Amino acid sequence: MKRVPATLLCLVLIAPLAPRRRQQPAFRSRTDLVLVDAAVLSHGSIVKGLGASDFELLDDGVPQAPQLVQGEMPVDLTVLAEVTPLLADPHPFWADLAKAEQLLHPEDRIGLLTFTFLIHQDIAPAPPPIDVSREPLERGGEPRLFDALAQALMVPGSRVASHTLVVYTDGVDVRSTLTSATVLNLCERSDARVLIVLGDVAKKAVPPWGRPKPDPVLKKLADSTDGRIIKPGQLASTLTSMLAELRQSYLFGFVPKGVDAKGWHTITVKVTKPGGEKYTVRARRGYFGG
Amino acid sequence: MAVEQRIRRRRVWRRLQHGLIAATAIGFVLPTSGQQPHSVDSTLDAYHRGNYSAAAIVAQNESDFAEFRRALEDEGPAWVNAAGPQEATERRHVLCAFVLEWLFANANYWTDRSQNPLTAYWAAGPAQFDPAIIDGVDSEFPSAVEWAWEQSRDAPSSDFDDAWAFAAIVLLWDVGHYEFYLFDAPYFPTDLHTAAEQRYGVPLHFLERVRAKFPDDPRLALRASMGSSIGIDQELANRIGQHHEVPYAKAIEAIRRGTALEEAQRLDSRDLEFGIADRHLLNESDGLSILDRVAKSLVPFRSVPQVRADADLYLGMIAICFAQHDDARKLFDELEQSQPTPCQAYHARFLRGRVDEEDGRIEDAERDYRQALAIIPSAQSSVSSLASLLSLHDRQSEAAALLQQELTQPIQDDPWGWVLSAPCPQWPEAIAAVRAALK
Repeated sequence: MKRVPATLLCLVLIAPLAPRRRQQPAFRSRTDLVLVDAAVLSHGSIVKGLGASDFELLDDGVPQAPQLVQGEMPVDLTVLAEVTPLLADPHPFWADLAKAEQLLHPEDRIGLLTFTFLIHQDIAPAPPPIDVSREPLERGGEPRLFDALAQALMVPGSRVASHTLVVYTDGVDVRSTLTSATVLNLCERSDARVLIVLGDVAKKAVPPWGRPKPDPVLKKLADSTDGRIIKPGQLASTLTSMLAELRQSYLFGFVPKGVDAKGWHTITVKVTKPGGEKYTVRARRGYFGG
Repeated sequence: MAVEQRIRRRRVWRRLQHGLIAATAIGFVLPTSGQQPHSVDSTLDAYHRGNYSAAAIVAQNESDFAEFRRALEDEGPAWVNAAGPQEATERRHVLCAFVLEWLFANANYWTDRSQNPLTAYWAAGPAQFDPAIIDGVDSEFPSAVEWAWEQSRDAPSSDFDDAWAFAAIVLLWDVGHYEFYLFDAPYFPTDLHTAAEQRYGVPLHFLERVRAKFPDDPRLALRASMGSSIGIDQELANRIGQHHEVPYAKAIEAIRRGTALEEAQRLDSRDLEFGIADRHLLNESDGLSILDRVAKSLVPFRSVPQVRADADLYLGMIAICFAQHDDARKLFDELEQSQPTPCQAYHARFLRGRVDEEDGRIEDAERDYRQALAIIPSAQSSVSSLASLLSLHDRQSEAAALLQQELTQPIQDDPWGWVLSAPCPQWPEAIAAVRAALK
């Protein structure tokens, strides 16, 4: 990873209120800088025009001195896809993913993990475009959904990028070693926004007594991360709105002070201006201190 | 696109890939349009020359399992007899070994639960069971083993017979376990088996017949003693723990209290499949008494060197079911002193890690998972467990490094769960013994 000249970094940090424009991926390089995106919503609509003094940002409960930063926070998109033949026609998902990928910017990154009984990194995180035109080969074995979710959540996101995890699955776990409780615990220590693309169980995999229901943990994951559960074919449109929100968010940069460098850091962002309690703030939940 | 079509499409791609591999590695002719990709003769010749991957290549290239099986039945005996009486026995062994490897390679596509009679049987309940469901059963898998068994039956008793019979048991128990249960009435003596027997006219009690041939084989005696209770009981506990977000120990406790059936019924429909064993257990009113009985039957095997490690492993798993963690640790320690196979040693160390983690012995659990990984470095079960342990204790960087190293490796198998549904030593060891006996 390239080091960024200090002057460029200063420009990034001291450019409040400048017009927002596409930012180069420079701030991925600064190891002690943390970026936090915060969308402020009022009845579902983005609230604009707030200044740095209208916010309070806490790192593990300790107030920080964030600067409003121009530019957009890069997106790290991790796709975790089940590739078992027991899942109904996955073609719409892969076609939709190819469309969704076009929404990404050069400074963003996308990676692909696939799983059945075993989990594999098909494509390491890299700037788009990646080749998703050829669908991954199906693999046999009983799916370990929880183990795969845990692994995807445990891969730490960047301190200076927004992490979105897209999970394509029928929601049926068969042979995981980890429990759904562990997955939820791990989720509390992840900044990923989880988007579940719920596929159908293939007809041949439906047992005589009825179609399996997706595991309830998926809804909890989506709810607790401001994510969603969608159907195959809705990925591109959903990502469009999510990325639009992200790219209209306030972007703060800060170098943590008064907190331990290592471990999981919980971020809290509040609007402190009068009436701010009416707003909903959707910000990244935290970051790993390395 | 229908699943079957997609599978065929994948197989076309794989046909190209493996055709190239085959052409390079073993001199197969690259399949061309309009030709039978591999003849029975050329395939068996390749296997006979020691190219054991021929079975997997054929399994992945042929789109119609039943068609190739018919070709094997039609042409296999002629291939056996083509070389004269002296070599016929050797060739019969090759044919039988090939059938097992070919079935194993096909196993991933053998999972049509909608036609699974055993799950249908338990879903309906014994009283409502309609024997007509058996008409939907695809019996190709077990009957192919039966056919190979018929081929080997004429051969003189030998080391090969011994190795082959055990590998067949492992194969049926593991990858074809539904069919194994279906065709082995002693475990589930139900109307279903009567219906299957009448429907197919296939002799049941596969394990019993193998035991009759090898009455002194402690491996088979051990399987017969323990049945399938332990593995499935463990699995059910796992399911309850997963889906109710309760610790594993609490799920075990549910079984101990005799409320596991109630728990299983609260699970959604897919979990009824995993409730099979519990119904099986609770049909006798007290699941623990069955486990207790199995434990008692396993104890004598601890003095038989050939199966000592298996007995220790299963007894350790039963001890976990009884929440006797110290006993489990002791058994796993003793297992490690008895020259276990890597599969046995892995499970002992991995399960010990889970027990230690449950008990809050985090350093011990970490050491256990790392030692399990030292035995089988590719085992994702231990990687997931260790990474989760580290991550939840503020060691995310180490967890991430561990995962990164694992995710970028070529896909390799993970022994987790083998022991839950099948014996140890597992398929790799069993088929290695068959191959060794061929030489």
